[in-house]
Amino acid sequence: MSATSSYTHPGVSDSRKDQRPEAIVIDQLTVKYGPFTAVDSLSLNVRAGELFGFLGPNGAGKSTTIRVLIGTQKPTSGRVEVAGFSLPKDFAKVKPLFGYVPDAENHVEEFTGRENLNLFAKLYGVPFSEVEQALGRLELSEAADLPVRTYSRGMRKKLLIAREILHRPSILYLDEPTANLDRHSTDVVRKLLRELAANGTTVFLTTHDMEEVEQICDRVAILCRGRLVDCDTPVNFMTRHAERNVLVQFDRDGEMQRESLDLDDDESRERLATIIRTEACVRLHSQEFQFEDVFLKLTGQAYS
Amino acid sequence: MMPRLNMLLTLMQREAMRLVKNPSALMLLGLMVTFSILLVLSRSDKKPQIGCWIVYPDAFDSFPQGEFKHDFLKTLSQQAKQNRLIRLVSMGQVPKLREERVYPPQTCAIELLELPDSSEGSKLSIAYRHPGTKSEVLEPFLRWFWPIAVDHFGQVAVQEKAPAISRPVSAATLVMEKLQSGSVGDLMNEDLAAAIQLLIIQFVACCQLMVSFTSQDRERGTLTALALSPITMTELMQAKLLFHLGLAGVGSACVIAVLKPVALANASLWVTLLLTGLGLCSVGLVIASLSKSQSSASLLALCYMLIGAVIFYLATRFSAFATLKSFSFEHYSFGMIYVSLQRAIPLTRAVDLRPMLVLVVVWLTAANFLFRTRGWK
Repeated sequence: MSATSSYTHPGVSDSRKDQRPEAIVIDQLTVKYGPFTAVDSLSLNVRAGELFGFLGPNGAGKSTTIRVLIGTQKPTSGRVEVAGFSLPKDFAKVKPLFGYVPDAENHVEEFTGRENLNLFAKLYGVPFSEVEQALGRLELSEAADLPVRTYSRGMRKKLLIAREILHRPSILYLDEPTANLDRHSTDVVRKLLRELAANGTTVFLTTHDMEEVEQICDRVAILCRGRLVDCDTPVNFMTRHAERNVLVQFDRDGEMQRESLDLDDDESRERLATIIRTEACVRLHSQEFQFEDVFLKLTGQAYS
Repeated sequence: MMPRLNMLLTLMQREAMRLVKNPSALMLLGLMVTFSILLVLSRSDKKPQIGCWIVYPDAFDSFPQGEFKHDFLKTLSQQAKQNRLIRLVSMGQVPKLREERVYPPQTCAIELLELPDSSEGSKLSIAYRHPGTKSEVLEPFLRWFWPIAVDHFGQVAVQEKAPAISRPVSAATLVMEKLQSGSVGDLMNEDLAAAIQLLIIQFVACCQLMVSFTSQDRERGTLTALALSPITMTELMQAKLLFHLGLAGVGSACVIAVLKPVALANASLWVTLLLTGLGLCSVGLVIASLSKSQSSASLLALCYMLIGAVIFYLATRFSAFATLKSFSFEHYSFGMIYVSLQRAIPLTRAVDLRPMLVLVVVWLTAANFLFRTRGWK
């Protein structure tokens, strides 16, 4: 399945994207918490303007990697460069260049949505017109003057995203940006992320939503137990790891039966031929191989 | 790197907005000022009964029965039982503040001070202390005390160094030197009440609110969000310190204006309050940096206050713990505030400011280190 739908990157070909400078360079990054290795020799490059998905099961080291990238965690070893600056050495220079949307919201609860954004607009030296624009983009204008403590979790998440795009960062890190969002809000956020990437913002997101990865990410890295399992475009992942299965439904002695058969397996192919020849085949259709299946296959292999 | 004024102002404005939207914090400070006003109002309306403490040297307790000092004490004790306004206490039981004995409000004192033995026999020096400016309040107690003293010793020689309030009626063999201390002011007066209140305001505004706001910020992750914005950690910390010091300053000014307006011009008072506030802000930052949640931080702040009170009590009651007081800047600040409320002290002669400054710098350094390394994460 290709990266489909209305979110496709407008007007930038793959060859042009490849020529963009690298926004994030991670080289042999290792982070240890005592004897536990959270990230193990991770090497990864993300180009400017790329929408990069960072996947992995719980405890894979995704959040630790993001913490290193935003400068709140010192690496045990390895090299990290963001926008050409080395971390954690050039933390102060990197800070104004990125936005970070954490998985847990961190607003001033007593303030209204607008007051929260105004505070950060002042700190970033951004005109208040940007606040109105950000509120509008995330469909929060109507609720802007309500205290944040009255917001739903989805609204809080959208307010976080609005806050972090205020200063038009060149890199945007997002930790599960569409968690707790309804279908419509998810759509709004995904479109926004694609727009940002189209305008040259590097978007680095972690998510557990495989549909999201398939739909909006230019490239995806899968992490398991702190190690990089694979990194490629969603289309290439599907091409390389897809399994061709068919589901056959047939009538045997008056009783309906179903079987799923792998077309890359000789024994299964023979079984399919037998069913078609000898049984009363009622239905036969190919099984879609989802990105989620690729993810489960790769992480399952990593665990085994 | 120099802090940017616009960043500091933005952060301080944020803290002020949080305070305004947290009515409980404002109410607490308002309560302090209201309490001061009530104190002033109640003082002019009521005339409480004045009591008297007869204070004797600690050594009197160890004299054997039959010894005249022991017997004198016994007589006083028996007589005092008939008058509920009179209490007989040893020197050690009287709390001290900056080497000066401090009595409860509306209390006179007759202090028996033993002078070195001479050829003329034992000598007692007597010092009178009374609240307020009028020494007449001592009259009923002296009328009670002198006959007992004369009966016991048989002869009292009076060498007055100040106008006497009451005259002994007879003389015998023992020489008593009568010294009138004169007015030392109302010892538990508005100065002491104001000093206590100012210290509480400093604690609430600088320590308790700092702990509450900072740990709440930390628990919610707001500090991390701020730290990842273009502001520096120095600016973030400075804004917090300036806001809480300002708040404590306003609260203190209100209390001083109500209780002791003349002290508003005392530089030594403001310097002491500034150092105290800075020290307490640092303590608040240390506590907030060490605790993960708001509730545990508030508990730690309360423990700090209780431990401080226990140390102060132990140090006052038992000499073995006396040195403990030297490690607490609040000990110096309380004395300095109390004295500075009474009179302006030239800063060059305010010896307590030096150890206080050292202790505050130690706390500030610890707060700076902890806040930068772990306090904002």
